[in-house]
Amino acid sequence: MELKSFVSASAAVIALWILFGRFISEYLGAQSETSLLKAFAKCPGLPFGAYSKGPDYIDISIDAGLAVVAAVFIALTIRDIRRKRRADLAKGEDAKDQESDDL
Amino acid sequence: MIKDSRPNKIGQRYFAIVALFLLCTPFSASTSSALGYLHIQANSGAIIAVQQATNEIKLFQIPTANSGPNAIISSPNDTFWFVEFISGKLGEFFVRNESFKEFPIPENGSIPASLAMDRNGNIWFSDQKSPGSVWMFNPATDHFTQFYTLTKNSTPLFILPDNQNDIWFTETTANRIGELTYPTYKMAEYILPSSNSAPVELAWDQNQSHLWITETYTGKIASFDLSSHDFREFSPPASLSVRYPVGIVTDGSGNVWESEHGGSAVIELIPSNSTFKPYPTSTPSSGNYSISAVATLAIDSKGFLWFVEHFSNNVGRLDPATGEMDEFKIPGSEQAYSVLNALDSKGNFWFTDFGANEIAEIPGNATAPLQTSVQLSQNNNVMSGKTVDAEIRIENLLSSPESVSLGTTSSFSATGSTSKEQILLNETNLSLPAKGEAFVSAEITPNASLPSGIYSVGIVSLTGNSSSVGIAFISVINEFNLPQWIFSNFQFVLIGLVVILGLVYALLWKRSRSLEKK
Repeated sequence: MELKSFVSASAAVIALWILFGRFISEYLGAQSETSLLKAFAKCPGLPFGAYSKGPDYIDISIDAGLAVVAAVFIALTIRDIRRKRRADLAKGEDAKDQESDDL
Repeated sequence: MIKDSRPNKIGQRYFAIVALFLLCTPFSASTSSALGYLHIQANSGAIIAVQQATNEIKLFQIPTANSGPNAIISSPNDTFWFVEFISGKLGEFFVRNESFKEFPIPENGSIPASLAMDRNGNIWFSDQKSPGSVWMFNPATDHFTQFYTLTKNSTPLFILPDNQNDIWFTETTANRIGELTYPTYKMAEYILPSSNSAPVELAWDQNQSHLWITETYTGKIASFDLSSHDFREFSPPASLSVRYPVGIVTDGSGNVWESEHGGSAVIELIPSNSTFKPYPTSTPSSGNYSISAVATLAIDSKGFLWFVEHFSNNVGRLDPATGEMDEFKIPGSEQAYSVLNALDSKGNFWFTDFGANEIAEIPGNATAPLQTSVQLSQNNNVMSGKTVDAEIRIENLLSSPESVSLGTTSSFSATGSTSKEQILLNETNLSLPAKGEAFVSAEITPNASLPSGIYSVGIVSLTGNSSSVGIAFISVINEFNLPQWIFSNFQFVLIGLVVILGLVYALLWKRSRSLEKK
């Protein structure tokens, strides 16, 4: 694998790994808040359960950014690998042509 | 902090009376238990009973079954008013003859959440039935008047009159505070600066120029200037997680106190320097909950803070001067809950027990059998991750031996739960002799990952139905440590690595383009 593909693949894997970790952390956090709010449903008069705090827009922006970055690096990696293959195939055909010419 | 043993002042007074009597009258004496009545028999045969301090929590069952008592206030002539959240009534309780009177709210499905009394003796209460309203009840005429909030679906909660008889209230789901201006009761609303903050309860500053507000969803405290109508918000530092604050009161020094309903602490805000100081309660040792869920607050004339721990089912009392907290178990298995508690003219603490359908009273002079104090070997500029030694003194105030179990609490975690790595006691079970004391040592190690700030540690001494929490404060410094920083911010380090890889890719691409052109 050439260096460019290796770099883009690494970036994609790391971005996906961070995204996965953040999803797990956010899911567990949401579960914990949900169980706390369910407990607070026993708190009549307080707004818990009446409506949520609302989404954390900063977290959503970071997640969206990571997803876009991962997608871009995946696309670049696939493109580079395909170009390399086409270039290798073209080289191989040239070599065969050269061989037959020599013969 | 070392707290010297202080004699029980109430006990001293009674013994002084007894001593004077004994000097004047030939006698033979007998006594009963340390908590209860002290009986003295004179030679004449007369029995004199002198009531000592008692921790007895008195419970009064509300006539309407499953009424949902949610908030209680005291009013003149030994009377209390409370709201019945489920049955949609106002209740009145007469201490003199322990009787009730109930007033159905003249709207089907009313949901009264909290209440207050104005200077004219009218009762004001919030009604959370959609679209949201505030009611006035005149006890002299039994007449109800309703005022709808300007914003629909506002879910009003807390009501607080001012000295001009204007009525202030929170609109929890509308993110506003409302005002009804006396005598026309024209309504105005003011939007809080943080969106979705869910303002819950209100308290006056010393001269009623500012309202203090708990924002239960943001964890902040807001101050509202009555003249300029400006808000100012106070956010807790990174070292303190304040989850769902609810109750709020101010003390004689102008400091603000709040109860952390999503955690296990009563927290002090010193507005002059925006310092937050947490006073942790004990945490439940068993059951479904890891937090005590401190509900609302009241402050008495001595400056003691009173509160109910919803999930632990305790009444708590904090003396800010000594940092000592007493906790008294509430009888019954239902978790006591209310949004507003009260103090009567004698300093006794009253609260509603929503689950048990009762109102309850604990004497203001209730004493816990134990006193606990904590002395740290170092409490300033302690490096995070380093261990500090502590000496804990537990004193038995009773005339009988006591078995005591020790626990820990702190502000090191958001819930108050504290691991043995954070506070390690060398003993957890003690037997104290009558009127005796014991000393226990502890090692306190703030986590290496804790941000710099003021933290609190608490040692809980539990015996019978009460506990004593000795609290000390520790100032933690977290010096920059690269490996620790990387560990704590690992995802951002990885994001930085992705950015670097992106730049490397861009350079490689540019290089390959220039090679192709050649």
